Amino acid sequence: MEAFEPAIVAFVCNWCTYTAADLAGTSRLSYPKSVRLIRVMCTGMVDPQYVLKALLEGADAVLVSGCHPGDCHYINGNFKARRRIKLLKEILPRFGFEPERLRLTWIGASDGIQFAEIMQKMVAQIQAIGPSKAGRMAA
Amino acid sequence: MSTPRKLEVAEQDVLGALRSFFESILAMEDTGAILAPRRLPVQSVVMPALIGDPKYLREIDPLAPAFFLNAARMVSRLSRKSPGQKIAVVLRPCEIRAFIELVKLKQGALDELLIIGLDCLGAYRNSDYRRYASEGPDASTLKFFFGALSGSPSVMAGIDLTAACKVCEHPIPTGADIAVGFLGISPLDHLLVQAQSTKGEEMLARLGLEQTLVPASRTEAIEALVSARFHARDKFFDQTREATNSLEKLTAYLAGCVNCYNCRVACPVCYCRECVFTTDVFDHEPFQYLQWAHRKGEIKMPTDTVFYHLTRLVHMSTACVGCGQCSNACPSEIPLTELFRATAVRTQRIFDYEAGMDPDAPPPMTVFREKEFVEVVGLSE
Amino acid sequence: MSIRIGFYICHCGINIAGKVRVTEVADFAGKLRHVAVARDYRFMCSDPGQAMIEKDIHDYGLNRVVVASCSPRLHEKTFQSACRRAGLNPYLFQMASVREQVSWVTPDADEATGKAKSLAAAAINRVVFHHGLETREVPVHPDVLVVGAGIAGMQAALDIAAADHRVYLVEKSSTIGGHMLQFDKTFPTLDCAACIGTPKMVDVVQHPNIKLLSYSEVTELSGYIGNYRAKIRRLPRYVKEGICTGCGECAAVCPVILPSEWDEGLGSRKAIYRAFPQAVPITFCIDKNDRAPCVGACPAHANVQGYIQLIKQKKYKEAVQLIMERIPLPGVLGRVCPHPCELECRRSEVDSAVAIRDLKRFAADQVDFETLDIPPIAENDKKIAIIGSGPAGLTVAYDLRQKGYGVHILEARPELGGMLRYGIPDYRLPQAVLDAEIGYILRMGVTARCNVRFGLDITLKDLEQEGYGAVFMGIGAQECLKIGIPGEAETSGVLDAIRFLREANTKSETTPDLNGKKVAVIGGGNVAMDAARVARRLGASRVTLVYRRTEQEMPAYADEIHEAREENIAFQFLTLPVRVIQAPDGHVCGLECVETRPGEPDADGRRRPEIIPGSEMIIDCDWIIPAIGQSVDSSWNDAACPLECSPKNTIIANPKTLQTSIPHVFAGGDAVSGPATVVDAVAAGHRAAEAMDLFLQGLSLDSLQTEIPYSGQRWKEIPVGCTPKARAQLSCREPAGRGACFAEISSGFSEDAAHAETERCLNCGGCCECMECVRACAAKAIDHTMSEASLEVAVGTVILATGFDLMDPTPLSRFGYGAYPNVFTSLEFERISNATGPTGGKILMRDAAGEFSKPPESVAILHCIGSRDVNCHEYCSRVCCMAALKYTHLIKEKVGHHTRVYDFYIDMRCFGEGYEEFYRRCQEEGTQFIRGKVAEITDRAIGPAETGKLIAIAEDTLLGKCIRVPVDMVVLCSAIEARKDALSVGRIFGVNLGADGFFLEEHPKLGPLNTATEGVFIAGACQSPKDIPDTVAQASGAAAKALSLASRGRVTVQSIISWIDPDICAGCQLCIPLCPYSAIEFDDRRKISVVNEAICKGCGSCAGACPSGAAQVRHFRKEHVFAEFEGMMDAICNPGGRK
Repeated sequence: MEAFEPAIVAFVCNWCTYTAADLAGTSRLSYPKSVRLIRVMCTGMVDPQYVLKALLEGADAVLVSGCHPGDCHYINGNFKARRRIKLLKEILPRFGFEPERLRLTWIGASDGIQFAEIMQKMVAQIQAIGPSKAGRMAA
Repeated sequence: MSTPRKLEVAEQDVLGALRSFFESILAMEDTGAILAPRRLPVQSVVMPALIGDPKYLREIDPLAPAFFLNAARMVSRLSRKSPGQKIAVVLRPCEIRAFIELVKLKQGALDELLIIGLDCLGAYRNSDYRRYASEGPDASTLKFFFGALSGSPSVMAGIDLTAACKVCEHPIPTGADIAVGFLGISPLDHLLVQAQSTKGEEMLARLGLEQTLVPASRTEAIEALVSARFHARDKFFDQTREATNSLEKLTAYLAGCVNCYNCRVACPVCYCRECVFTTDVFDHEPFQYLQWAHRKGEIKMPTDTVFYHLTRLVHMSTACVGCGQCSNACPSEIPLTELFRATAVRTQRIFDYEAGMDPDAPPPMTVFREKEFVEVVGLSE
Repeated sequence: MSIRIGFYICHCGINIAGKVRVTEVADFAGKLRHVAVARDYRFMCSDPGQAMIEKDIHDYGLNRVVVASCSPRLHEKTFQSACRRAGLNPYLFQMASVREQVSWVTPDADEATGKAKSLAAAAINRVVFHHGLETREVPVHPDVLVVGAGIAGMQAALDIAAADHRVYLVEKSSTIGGHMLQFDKTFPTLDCAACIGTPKMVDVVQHPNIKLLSYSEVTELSGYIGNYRAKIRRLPRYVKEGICTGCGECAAVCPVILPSEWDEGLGSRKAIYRAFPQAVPITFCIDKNDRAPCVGACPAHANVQGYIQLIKQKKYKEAVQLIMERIPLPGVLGRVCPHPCELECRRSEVDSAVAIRDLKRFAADQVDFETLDIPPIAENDKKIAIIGSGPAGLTVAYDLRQKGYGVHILEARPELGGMLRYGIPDYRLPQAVLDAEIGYILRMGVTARCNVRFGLDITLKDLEQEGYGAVFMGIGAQECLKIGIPGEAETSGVLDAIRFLREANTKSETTPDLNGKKVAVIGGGNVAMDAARVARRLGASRVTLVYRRTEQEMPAYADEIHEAREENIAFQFLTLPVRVIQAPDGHVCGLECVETRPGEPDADGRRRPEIIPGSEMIIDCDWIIPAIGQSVDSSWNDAACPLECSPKNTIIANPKTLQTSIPHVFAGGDAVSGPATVVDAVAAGHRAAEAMDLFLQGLSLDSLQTEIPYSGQRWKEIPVGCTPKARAQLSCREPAGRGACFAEISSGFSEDAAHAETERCLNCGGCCECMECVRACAAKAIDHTMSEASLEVAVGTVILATGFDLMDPTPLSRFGYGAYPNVFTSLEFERISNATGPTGGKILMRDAAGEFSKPPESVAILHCIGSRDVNCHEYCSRVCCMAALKYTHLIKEKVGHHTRVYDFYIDMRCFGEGYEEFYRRCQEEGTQFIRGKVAEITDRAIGPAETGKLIAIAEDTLLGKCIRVPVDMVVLCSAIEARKDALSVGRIFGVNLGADGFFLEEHPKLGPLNTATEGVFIAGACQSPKDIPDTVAQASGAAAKALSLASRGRVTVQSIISWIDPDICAGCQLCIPLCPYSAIEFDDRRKISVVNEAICKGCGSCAGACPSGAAQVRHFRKEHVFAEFEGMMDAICNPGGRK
């Protein structure tokens, strides 16, 4: 079967990864359309419910991405995010969500190229494991 | 841990011994009142009661296999603001642990409390207990008590301990100021009373009970019980995981959920004044339901049930003490305790945290370090 | 009121429309719920575009607006203000980025259109839940902080000051001016950098509104736009600003010479220095590191580095006086000190330790102690007594006398000096040296009585009665230990080493006549050495040293053993005496010994000798001299003076204060420690003197610090070019010539040898604290005790102008920098060409000796060293082309037009005003421009034309062939790169770094001066490589940015901040420890947490943690994020739009 078109939602911080996405754009680095960004001020404000909601409502994967350690515009929001993601990554796989469906990355403001690459890689990984069942579940 | 003391049991009346013990504590001028499980008149229901007049202590029944609610929530009400007087509270081990979690969440304070904990033999589901206790109060309690002590808590056909109690690894009241023990000793002769804090030590010193030693038999009995529980626990974890290891199975597992939120009301550590699921955020417009119906072809009503339970796992599993009230409270009899315990054991382990044990250990989500969990970052693993 | 949304998608010319079918998206959006009007337009950000929105808001009664165009980071504010103008709260607006996130990154038109729809739907669904937010204003502090005082920092500061606002200008180095002031001329106008730079420096320092904080660093910035607090660390200059007149007398006398950073290491400066004559502030500055390791290693903490530097300057008197601050007997220690200092000397990392002890002796030998002036002494009426005149006693006498006490020494023997006189043979320490130095101490007014034995002739009582407030016991360890073997006591001819040496040293008639006799000395320490060598000098025909362990374990110093060997002393190791053999006449006739072998290690880790059975033997000898250690003579100790003593008879004294069991009695030296070195005794003397001084003043001894901590290891780097130099050796008398001669064995350094030796000192401590500068400073501006200070300032805004570093081309070894002396960096060339530089402005090259001697006949200038290079920096450094042209001109002008100048370029970039013209001018001056990057600089000549030259090997890409160009000098136009500390500095100010390592601006075109942190601006080369005109322009720009905030005095801040719903908050306080700004307080009355809006920055750490959702970030609430997601998913699932 031909690779399906996943829906990937990325919660990205305004200062680093969102800026990197802009840079990728200005540098005309193409990446699959499947990735759609939702801008947040800091990964530290990403409520685990965002992730649950997205995964339950049919996103095939969720990416949370912020500043490199030490670069957080708000000092340490990214570290709090990391703990929450750790918790989710302990819970979700027990209920059949593959680890690939929830990712956390650090993409700095100047990492335009890395941004595009990571998006491509993530889409490829999701295509490899196939669509999430949640989309069609009447939960 | 201070030297244990003897609580003499006169003519084999265990309940009587306990009652007079509590009386002597309430008699202390600085004890304002005592909160203890009390058998309500007429009905065979045991509920925590805040007792100011010693005469009502004759009605208390801390040994009954009844667990209608986790009293930690009640203690929280009594201590969230200063009560102005010392209150003695008689709690099960899981109630103590739950309360310690609540203290960390600033929903209660230990300062003016004297926590008295009893060895716990477990309890029946509410419905089962009503059925069981219909045949005369004290008698039924003692029948269970000695049955359970001799290793067979199911003393009436078709009635047994709740799932939570069957797998509880904490039959001993850790965290209590005063621990009353009867596991592994001959309770017809005496009970074991032990102070586990300076507060408790002061109280016992004033009561002037005779000192004694912890018999080896007690330690053995506890070890035996706990290891049996661990064994049962791990089996039931496997079953639960097997039953929920895909989203389809989880959905089926929770299919009966009617969004009554009883589980969160019954949960002693689910402390929010208003659950996020009852706020505007989840007060969807009709249009939204239609959108979903269009998007997915159909939606089960009420919606957000899996979302709700997963959220509770995220919010509370690190604080879950496994008291089992969620299952006890569910009208659709969804085995929620199993789900929570099976998840909690892991979420607590990754943060090296055990709910309700160490009052000084900060809740996992309130702390973070620069160098930790690096493995969760990136697209590998 | 029903929701009415206006949707607008921008073509952005073809940037968006080229990929996204914008009309289709508009139609799609038009069908979505609540959308009242949906349009597409060529340029939404243009005035007509914005006007269209405003008109629609009126005509259609819109109460929400969504624009799908570029990134919100670009135009969100533009459209928000359009809404505001039309009376719509700017927060009822939402933007979808369909350019950066769609048209520019999605090649396929269908996919692009589809994605654009989903993002539009997301934005539309989100905006439904938006609430208007009131814009918040906070006051702006009128003062401005400018970091870095190069040309950018100075310009910014002056502009702000001119607007009557106070500026704090913080500069890390000792002078302001930055790189520009290192330059010679500036292109293309060729005006001299100093001529246009120094007036600015003067303006800065003189401007009443500028508070200049040089030699300072910002360590912390807290607060938020308009209300920052900066912590500033002021490093100690050790010279007081304002008092220093800049006369330079201090530098003239400073002995420490260090490489000059300002001259890029081509020239040198003193430890007290000023970067260059016009430096601002003119205040000098002392370059101090931690005290040199030798100072720490010396038990007496003599300022070794200090006196070595003074010797270098031939200031022998000063040197000796500096030594004598810690060592009262310089000539003595200069001879007999075991010099622990030399063990720590870092010179040994290069070759071998500096000959510190011998230099000390040299200095002492140069002064006449009889005329050496006595320091002024402020007398007081207290007096003290000292028992024993060894090094410890003499030190106490010396110290306390200087403090004005009456000091009286009591000595049991006929002359002063203790072991120095009676223990150390003259050939090592001539009596004359000792006499001279003791003479000096007596000249200070110390009185002494000899032949007075404490305990016998005088008692503690007597001393008290005579009014001595304190007593020091420095009686040494004068008893020789017995071997304890049969025959030792009763046989004549057994004489212990201490007594033997004493008699020999005093030439007493009881000295045994050893002429032609055979002597056995027992022991392996220095005393044994002395005894053996003295015996030899007394004519002994054979001297055998008997030691029970191996040579490696001998406590004696290696050079002693060596010299003893030279004097034919026989060594009998692993040999243990067991019996003295007595001749019938009762005199010694032999020593019976057994052989031993090393056995188990004992307490002190040395292997205990075990006897080898049946190895008995006899050493034939007439005299036996045991030298196996000393103990304290305790005969004095009686009821009259009940001092607590150890089982070994040593006096027990508090190790910190050296106070004994009798409060007013102090003790030190061998008497306390057991046999030890002279310098240890001196150290003990100092400690006792300090304590006794306090005691006599009736002060507590606790204030006494145990040990000055010399733990610091922040020492000067060992210079890379430091070449090994042999250590100067003392000339020793030939062994043959020694014979019976007691004259000193070594003659000490010649002046030349001594100076050569001082040159080897690495000045580890920077400033050597010789205090010459203090003496030289008429203005009394120098204070070596100055310490780091810190201050905190409140400012409204910050301008970063921290500049750049020049890339070190050493790693690019093919260009030969560091390997060939005449390969220079551009900055080095600037200094060579600069009138204040090391060559006084003459363009010269280095000769074989490394001196700048003759001008080059030919020079190659290489562009793009480390720039435009994928292996170093991909960017262009922008200034090199013009700088290179400037160099070609300077060479032609200064060295002469005959000089051949080759300019190797890749592309000539002459973009600025007058730049191209300058290029033309330089071409006309005859410089050869070669298009091609040099591949290698080598000195491997092929053919006579190349011998002795540096050859630049390159491809001339215009001729298309390889060329070899022999030249005398090469100039590398090294890349301009971000400061080494850019990352840490960036973190202090919340400024990110770009991929190139420079500070990242908010937007390359629209916000080049702004950063991600509001109210922090950047100017100059810290943002990217820049020439001076651009830098100055940016500086003024940044100043204007800061001023616009300062002059208005108020600023609208982030409305997007957290808020905690009081009806929902359960007061669990989870959020409080998570808030990075401590902006959340707990309201104990209402039992809920509350956000302090002035402090909150809206990061949402609280919202992410709050289970009930009570804590939420305005404009980023759950319903917003959920709605955005739902809208997105709806569009994905039915792209055709709903229904």
